Amino acid sequence: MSTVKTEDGHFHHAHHFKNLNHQYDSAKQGVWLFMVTEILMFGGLFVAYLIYKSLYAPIFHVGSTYLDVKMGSINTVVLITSSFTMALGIYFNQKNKPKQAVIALVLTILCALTFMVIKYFEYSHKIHLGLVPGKYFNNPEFQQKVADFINAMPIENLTPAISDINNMKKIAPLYFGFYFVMTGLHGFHVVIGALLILWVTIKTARGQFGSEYYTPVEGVGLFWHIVDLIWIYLFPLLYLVG
Amino acid sequence: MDLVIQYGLYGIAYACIFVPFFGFGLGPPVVIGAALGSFIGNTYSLIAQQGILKNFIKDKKETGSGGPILPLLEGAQKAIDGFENPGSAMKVEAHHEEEHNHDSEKHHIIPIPVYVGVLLVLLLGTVITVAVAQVDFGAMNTVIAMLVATIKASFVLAFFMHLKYDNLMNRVIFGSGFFFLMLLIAFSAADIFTRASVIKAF
Amino acid sequence: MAHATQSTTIVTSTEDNYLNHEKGIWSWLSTVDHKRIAVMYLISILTFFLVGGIFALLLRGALFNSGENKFWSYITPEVYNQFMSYHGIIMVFMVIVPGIPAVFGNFLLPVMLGAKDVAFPRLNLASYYIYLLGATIAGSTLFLGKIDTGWTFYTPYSIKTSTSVIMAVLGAFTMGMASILTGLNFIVTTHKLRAPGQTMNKIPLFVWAIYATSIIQILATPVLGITLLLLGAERALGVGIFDPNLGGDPVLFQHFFWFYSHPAVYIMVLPAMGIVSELISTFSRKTIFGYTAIAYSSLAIAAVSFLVWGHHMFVSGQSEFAGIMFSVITMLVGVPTAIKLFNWISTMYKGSVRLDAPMLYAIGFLFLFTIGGLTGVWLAATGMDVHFHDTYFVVAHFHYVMVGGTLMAFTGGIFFWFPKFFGKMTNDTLGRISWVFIFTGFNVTFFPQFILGAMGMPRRYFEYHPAYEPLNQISTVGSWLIGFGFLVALAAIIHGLVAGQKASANPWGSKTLEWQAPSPPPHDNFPITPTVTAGPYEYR
Repeated sequence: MSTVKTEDGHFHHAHHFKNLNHQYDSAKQGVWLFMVTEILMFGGLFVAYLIYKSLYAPIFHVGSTYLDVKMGSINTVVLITSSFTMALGIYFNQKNKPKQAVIALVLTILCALTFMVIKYFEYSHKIHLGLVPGKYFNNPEFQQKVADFINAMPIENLTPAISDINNMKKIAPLYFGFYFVMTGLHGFHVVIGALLILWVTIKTARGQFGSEYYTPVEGVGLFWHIVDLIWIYLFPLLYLVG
Repeated sequence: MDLVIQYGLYGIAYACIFVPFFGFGLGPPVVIGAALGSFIGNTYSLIAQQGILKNFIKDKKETGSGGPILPLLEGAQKAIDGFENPGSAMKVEAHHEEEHNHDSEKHHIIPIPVYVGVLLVLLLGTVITVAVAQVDFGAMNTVIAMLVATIKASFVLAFFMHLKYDNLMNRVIFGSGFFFLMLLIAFSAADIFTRASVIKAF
Repeated sequence: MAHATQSTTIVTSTEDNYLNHEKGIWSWLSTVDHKRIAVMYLISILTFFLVGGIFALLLRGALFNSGENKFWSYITPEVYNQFMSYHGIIMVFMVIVPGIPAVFGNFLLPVMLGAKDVAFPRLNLASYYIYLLGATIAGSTLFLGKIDTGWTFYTPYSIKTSTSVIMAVLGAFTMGMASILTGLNFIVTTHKLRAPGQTMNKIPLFVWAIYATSIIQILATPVLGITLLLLGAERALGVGIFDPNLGGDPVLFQHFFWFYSHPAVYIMVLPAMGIVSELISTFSRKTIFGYTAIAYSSLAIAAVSFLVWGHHMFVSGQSEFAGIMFSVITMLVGVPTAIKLFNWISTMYKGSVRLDAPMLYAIGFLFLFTIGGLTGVWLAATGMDVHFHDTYFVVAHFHYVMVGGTLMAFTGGIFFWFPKFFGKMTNDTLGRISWVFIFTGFNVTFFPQFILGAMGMPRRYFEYHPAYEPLNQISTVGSWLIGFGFLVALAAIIHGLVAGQKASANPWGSKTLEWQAPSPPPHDNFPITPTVTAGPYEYR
């Protein structure tokens, strides 16, 4: 390990840095750079989503009615709270209070687990109904609802693409393709985040951090906040703006 | 010479980005506006952060050639100082002590009440998002939802992620990521939504 | 500036250096020393280059005959597509994109900055293993279903083909991850670990080049990541985003793919330009002309490279408006490149030019990259591109810039920094001979391809019209010359390792900081952290 607490209780920085602060600033900058890559990766998904939503609005409108706004809202509240407890976890480490820090971090993990449980219910419900991406899709009622919606649209709003009702019925599963890929990738990051938080929780519990050195907690915190940020955008786009 | 090249390259970059969007009619004014804006912003940051005005005032004072305009410049510098660093007088002394003990340089710690406040703002924002979504604004639905989401995101970034109190480089890094994402959206959309139109002439 | 060098104390004893600091294979595999990691990358990259080169020779051998009877009956049209895809995937993802940053960036960046190591040494080692993992995953497709989509994985074919697309894109994704982590490391190193006195205006141009490259790596590679993930999801789940049958848009795949892949070609070329700056300045014994212009043009190229990706898609069904937009901006990206070229030539003017092997490679770069770059501008014009797209003209263009450009600079860099890496000199005559074969062979191989493309021969074709045969045969003979040239270069390297003369700290008389450290450098690069008082090219 490059930064280890020695017997006298002090932290030593890695030899190529000038001091602990130099190491801390550098590590933080590195984590921010990595966060930029996460934003661009999810951003690509958002770009694709926004483009198809503009092209095939009826599919996305009808599709979003199949999402449970209540569960989505609860998940939003859960993630926001977990961001709060994560910030507290860092705060208590900064103040040299490992016991409170562990509590805050454990609460964060519990929030993450709650999120995944709610997500599990959402997914299993949809899989049960056959509302899954293209190859395995099996829910003619959804396709019919899309057709009904288009038929009810005023004629001046119809683009050539949307007017082809048979085609729109065929490609309707596109919505659930997006839903599962976007929330699935996000959920994957929630799991990774929870594991990382578990790692720093264990290290905090073992007294390996202090006000001089808590960089991993802060780094994991930044990652967790990005996961929250992505959900802040994902929730309205998928669940609300139908 | 450096500055000439710098602004030259800015100019090229702006032209590349703005002319395709605003066309050859509106494009050049936008480019000039952006160039002027960045020149002004650049100058302000040179004054505020690198103290070129301070040095200029000092030079003039030492050689005694300030003239009547010097008090005006000093006033301007004070105003900028006050705007940039409220309570800066106290900070100057504290900074001298800290210079010697880099290892014990205290990181800025955000107090818990601030965190609680941000949490409440975010929860309120969620309520607003869901409530507003019940009303149909037509095409503006997405825009409004994104706006609320962005405000919530700014709070997470500024306080939970500490960007408000962090050094400039981390903000630049985040901002540039976001900027390039906007590029991807803009140019892909520019293709997809102009597919139908055939350009007959300019 | 009054001072002549970037000064430090030179340790005369070279007994303890990074090569013998610790012994044993495990000390290498678990090292966090950036210099050892660079050497490990070098071995991997040269190996992959050999494999990709063999595929190239097989391709050109197959193209010797216009009909379907090839020199080896195993090569059917399907097999040809596989060879073509592997040549591309190996050369792009395993050799050229990591290439110069992984080898020279890793070794030299900290030394040129006066630092003891990169910012995150363990992350550096992790990057190397992630790279190997990605290469293994992609390479495993050779033993599974192979791949025949071309390195560009265009939909809808990549969705429908029965080859191992998912494994291939997983491998490419993993190698992209390694690329991101390396870029991240370099940016933080350049920001945070410069020696005292070394402002951004005193760092060598090679560092500027690597810095600009790292910015591109951070911003562009994630989009490739999501594109490949979506392709995998499309194949596995039928998501429908790129498949027209399911409502998708294949052109959107191309938008996403080229958003990364165009900046990627600048990841390939910018470090090469950095090396050329170092070589030309050293071997002309003259301060580089226009340091600031070259530094900022690196950043400008990095920024503008993100605005031009649609020039790969002029005939794909993209809208006319988008085509015009991308065409105009693409022509603008030639401007910073031209600035660099004029500055290099001005550096050589009235300099004291020595034509050692590295300098030959640098001059070769100037000549070949100019041709490649200019033909790129022709391709940027939509009217011309309608005729040239997917012909051998494009193939010749990108080989001129990637091989004639990057690979020339890479090889020149190897001969230049060989003494620093290994403490021995290469045989300069062998180096020059290798250059003659590579330079001549390269032109013999690829110049006819410009003509073939203008005559209309399509690329990636197994069989072609007999009228194209003579030029194809010339091209194939050229490929043998290149192959021989690289074998001579390899012989020069091996000879240098085994029987090379012991090298002093600064055999070429260069002024940048890495030449003030012993050859090879000690484990910590410098005995004491140097203080930089002068610019990096103060020759007079």
